[in-house]
Amino acid sequence: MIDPRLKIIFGSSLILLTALTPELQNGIVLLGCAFLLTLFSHIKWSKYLRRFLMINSFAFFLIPFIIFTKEGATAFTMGPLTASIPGINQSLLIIVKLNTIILFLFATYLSMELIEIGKSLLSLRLNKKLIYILFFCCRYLTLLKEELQRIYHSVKARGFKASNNFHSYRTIAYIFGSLLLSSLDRAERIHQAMICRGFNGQFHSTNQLNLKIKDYIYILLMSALTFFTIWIQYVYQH
Amino acid sequence: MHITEGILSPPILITGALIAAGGVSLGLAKTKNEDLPKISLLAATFYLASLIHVPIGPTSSHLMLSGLLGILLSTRAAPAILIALFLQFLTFQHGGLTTLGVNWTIMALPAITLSYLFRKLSNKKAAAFICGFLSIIVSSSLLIIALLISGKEYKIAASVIFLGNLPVAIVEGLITMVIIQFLLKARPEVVPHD
Repeated sequence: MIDPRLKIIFGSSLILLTALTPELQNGIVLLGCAFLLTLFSHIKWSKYLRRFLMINSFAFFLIPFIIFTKEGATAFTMGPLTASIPGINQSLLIIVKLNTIILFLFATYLSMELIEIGKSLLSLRLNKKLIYILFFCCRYLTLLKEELQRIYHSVKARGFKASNNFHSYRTIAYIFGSLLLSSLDRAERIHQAMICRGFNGQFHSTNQLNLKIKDYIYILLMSALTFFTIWIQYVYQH
Repeated sequence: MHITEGILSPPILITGALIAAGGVSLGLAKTKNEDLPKISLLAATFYLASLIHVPIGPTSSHLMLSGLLGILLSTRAAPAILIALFLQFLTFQHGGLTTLGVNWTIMALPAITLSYLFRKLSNKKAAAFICGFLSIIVSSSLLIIALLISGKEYKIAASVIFLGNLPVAIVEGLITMVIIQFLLKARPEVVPHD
């Protein structure tokens, strides 16, 4: 496994650089690079295709507004609406940027478990309180989801059907309230148990993250990709 | 209310990141170790809230509960919302990495600011409704400002988003009001008073 810290550092740099992409042509080159990177990351496309569609849905909601309201040379007309060429360019740029970032994300962040990401952020000296919140948020999510499902089943067994009335909203609110209270007690008990075992805010990791040969190769290749990204966008003039 | 990648202009992203960095640092400075379990738990609740669909009119929307977090945590909602947004991005790509700062500003700033209003008002039920309602309204407004500064072509889309969020704000206000009412009856020490 590649050192997760490297994936976070390079993933974040590539995503940031992509967000600053000024031109469509640069964006398309980056999209190609991102796609190639994901081929090396063993992504199961069937699992992520639905997510891709969902992520693009907000962009597709905005696109008609951009195409038909941005000022510029006319591309085509559709009844009373006029599509502009700058509008189409901007829409394409948004789609390309969005999908490039998501592909970089899949190739880096999403190739690791959440706990790995947490450990790497700890190693990269992120604030310890934030690390605590991250780890325990992940822990409580599983617990809360189970508890929520249990409460929801019992509520459904009593004939509840969510609809447009105050009774539904009140029921949902009571579900959340009782969920909060029972989980709060549990969280306090966990924290006190940790203090009993000597927890003082310090997280200690058992495995020392040492860099190996494959990590150095990864650094080399990803640095090359990052420099190529900077070159193609800001240095190379078409 | 989360903005995905690629839509906002870089100056907005940088401004959002700076505001978030400042807000979260302030929040962390006020966080004691004893508060961390409550903060982590409420961060998890914020995360789960976006998975719960609430019927509104002909469609359904998801809860945000930023008003609730502001009431229960005040300034310490800052790190909670940041971590929850980060996890939402990592697990189901809701929002973005470059837009983390902007999304934080949109959600957490109204929540934290309105929590001071909650403490000042004596009628806690009404105060909870106002916090829940206004946090969505102010969040939508900040979202619109971010979109409009990025480009005038987002004007109509921004109005549609704002109008669409009005019923969500009412439902959020009602749900926040009932949750606070419940907590005040069942465990009043959880809700900070003035």
